[in-house]
Amino acid sequence: MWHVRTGRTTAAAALCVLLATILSGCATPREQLGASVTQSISAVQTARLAITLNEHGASTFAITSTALTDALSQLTDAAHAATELDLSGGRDSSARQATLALIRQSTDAVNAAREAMNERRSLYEARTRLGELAETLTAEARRLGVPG
Amino acid sequence: MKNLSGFALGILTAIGAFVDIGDLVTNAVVGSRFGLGLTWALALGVAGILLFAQMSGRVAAVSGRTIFEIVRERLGPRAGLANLVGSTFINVMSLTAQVGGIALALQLASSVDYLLWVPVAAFGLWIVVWRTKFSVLENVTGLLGLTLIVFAVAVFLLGPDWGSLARQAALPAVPSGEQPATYWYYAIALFGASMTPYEVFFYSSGAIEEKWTVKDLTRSRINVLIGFPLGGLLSLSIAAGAAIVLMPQSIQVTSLSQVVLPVAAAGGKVALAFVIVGIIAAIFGAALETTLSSGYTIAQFFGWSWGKFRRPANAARFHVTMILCLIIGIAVLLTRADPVLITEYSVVFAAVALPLTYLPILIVANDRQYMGEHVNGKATNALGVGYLVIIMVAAVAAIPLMIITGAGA
Amino acid sequence: MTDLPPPPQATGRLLDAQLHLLDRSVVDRNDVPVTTVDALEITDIELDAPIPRGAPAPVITALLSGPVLATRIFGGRPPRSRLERIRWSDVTDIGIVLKLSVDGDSLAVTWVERWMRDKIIARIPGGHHDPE
Repeated sequence: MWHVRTGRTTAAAALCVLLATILSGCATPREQLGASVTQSISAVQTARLAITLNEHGASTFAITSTALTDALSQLTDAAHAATELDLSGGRDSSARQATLALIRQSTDAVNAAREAMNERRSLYEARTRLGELAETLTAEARRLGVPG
Repeated sequence: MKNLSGFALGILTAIGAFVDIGDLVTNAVVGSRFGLGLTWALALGVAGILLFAQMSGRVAAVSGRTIFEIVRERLGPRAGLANLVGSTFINVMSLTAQVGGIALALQLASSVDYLLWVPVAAFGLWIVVWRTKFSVLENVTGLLGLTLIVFAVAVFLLGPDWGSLARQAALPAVPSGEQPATYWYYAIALFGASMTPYEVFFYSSGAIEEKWTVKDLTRSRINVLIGFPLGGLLSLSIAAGAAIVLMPQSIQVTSLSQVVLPVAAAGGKVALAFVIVGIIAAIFGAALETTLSSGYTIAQFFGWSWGKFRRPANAARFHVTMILCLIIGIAVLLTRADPVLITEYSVVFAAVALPLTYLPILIVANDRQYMGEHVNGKATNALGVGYLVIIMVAAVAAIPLMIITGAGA
Repeated sequence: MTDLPPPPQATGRLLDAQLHLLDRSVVDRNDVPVTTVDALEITDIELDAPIPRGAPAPVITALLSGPVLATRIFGGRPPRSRLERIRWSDVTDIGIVLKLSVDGDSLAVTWVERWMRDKIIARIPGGHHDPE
C-alpha cells in the first residue's frame, strides 16, 4: 500500500516539475534575445544616469564607480545569456550577432566612462556615447518585438 | 527610560522589518518595473505583520513564554522540529543577505570592494551581540535608521505627478513590457519581504528580554501600530523614488547602487549621506535581529538558556549557535555569490515558509491555558484565518512562479 | 473496562505525561533553563505486553533529554547507556515549567553547555561579563 501511494505521489510531483520546466522554457529565442537587449538598455541607462548625477555634483565618486561596475556586470550577464542561446535559423543568428555587437559597444562605452572617472577627465563624451547606444538598443528591442 | 525602550523596540522592529536589504531591493525593483502597481501587496504585508507580531507580543507578555517554546509544548516535537528547520533555513539565508547588504552599503560609502567588508560586517555584528545590552542595541540602530526618512523626502523633492502615482497605486495594471506571471511573482516577493519570520521571533523573544507583563500590552499595540506602518511608508517611498526616476529611463534595479540614485537625483550629496547612513544602520539592525532570531529559535526549541540579558558564559550554546550562523553567512558570501540575488531568493523562500511560521502563532494565541482571558477575539481570529488563506496561496504559488519567470528575470 | 479496580485514593495532582511533562522546559533552582523534557524513564514494564493484574504501577524514575529526542521523533530507542537523566526526585515543582531543586551545573545533562562554556566561550574575551 505504501509503495503504491508513494509511487503515485512521486509521479505527480515529477509531472508538475516537468510541466513547470516546459512552461518556463517557452520563451522563443527572439524573446530571450529581447530580454538580453532589455537588460543592456537598463545597464546603459544606469551608467548614463550615474554619470549625469556625478557631473552635476549630485553624487559621489564611490557611488558612481560602483554603479558603473554594476552596469558592466549586467552587460556581461546579458552577453552571456545571448551567447548561450540555442538558435536554429539564419534570421535569429544574425539577430544575435547584432545584439552581441551592441552589447560589446556598450561595454566599451561603460569602460571608457570608468577610465574617464578614474583619470578625473570630462565625462561628456562618455555620456553622449551612452545616450546614442541607449537609442540604438531601444530600436533593436523594438525590432525583436519586445513590447512597450 | 523603560518607556523609551519600549517604543524603541517597536521602531527597531519596524525599521528592521521593513527596511532590511530585502525591502530595499524588492521595493526598488518593483518600483522600477511596475511603478506603484504593487502597493496593494505592500499594504497587505504591512497589515499582516502588524496582526501577527502583535499576537506574538501578546502571547509573550501574557504567558511569559515565547512562541517557539509554546509551539513545542503544545504542538509536539514533530511540529516544532518542522517549524525549526524551516525557520532556521530562512533565518540563515536572511542573515547572509543582510550581511551582504551591509557590505554593499559600505562599498557605496567607501569604494572599497564589498567582499572585503563582509568579514568586517560579520565581526561587527558579533561584537554587538556579544557585548551590548539589548536596549542599547535597539535605541542606537533604531534612531540612526530613522534617517531613511530621506527616501520619503526625496519623493517630495522630485516633484512627481501625484495624480499619476495615485492612479498607479489605486488601479494596478501590468505595464507593457512585463508579464502577468512576473507581476504576481513580485507580489509574492513583496509579501514575503514584508512578513519575514525572523521579525516575529525577534519580537516575541524581545518581549521576554524586556520582561513585558500584561500591563505592557497596550504599549505593544501602540509600538506595532506606529512602527510598522512607518516602515511600510518608507518602503513605499523607496518604490516611488524608483518609479519616478528609474522607470521612465527603462532602468531595472539589480544592484544597491541603483537604489540610491533617485535620492541623489532629488537631494544630491547631502541626501546621499543621510541615506547611506540610514541604509547601513537599518540593515545592521535587521542583521542583529536575524542573528538573534537564529539563536532564539534553536535555543528555545531545545530548552537551552538564552537571552541577551544573560552573560555569554551562562548562555554558551545560544552564543555558539549565533557565531556558527555568522560563519556560515560569511562562507556563502565569500564565494562571490551576488548578495542582491541571495536577497531576492530569501524573500521568496520566506514566503514559502510563512505557513510554517504563522499557523503556530494563530493556534497558540487561542490557547486558554497560556493566554487566559487574553485569547484572540473573534475579529482577530477572522483576520488571522483570512491571512492564513492568503499565506497558503502565496506559499504554494511561489516556487512555480519562480520557475516560470526565471526568478523574476 | 468495567473490571478495573478503582484507582488508589490520590493525594495531590493528577498529571498527564503528554500534556504536563513532555516537551516542557526544565529550569534549575536559579530559574536558569536546563533543557526540555524529551522523554520519560519509567520503571520496568514489558514492552507490548499487557500489565498483569495486581502488578505495581510503573513509576517515573527520571526525565530524559538529548539524543532520545531524535528517536522519539523518528522511531527507535537509544541504548540505556546513552540516556541522559534528570532524577525525578530532583523535581520540585510542576507548572508551566518544571523546576528542579538543584543547580544546573551539577547535572549530567548540561554537559554540552558546560563544555561549550569552558572550551569556547572562555577562550573569547568578555564572555563572563554582563552585557553593557
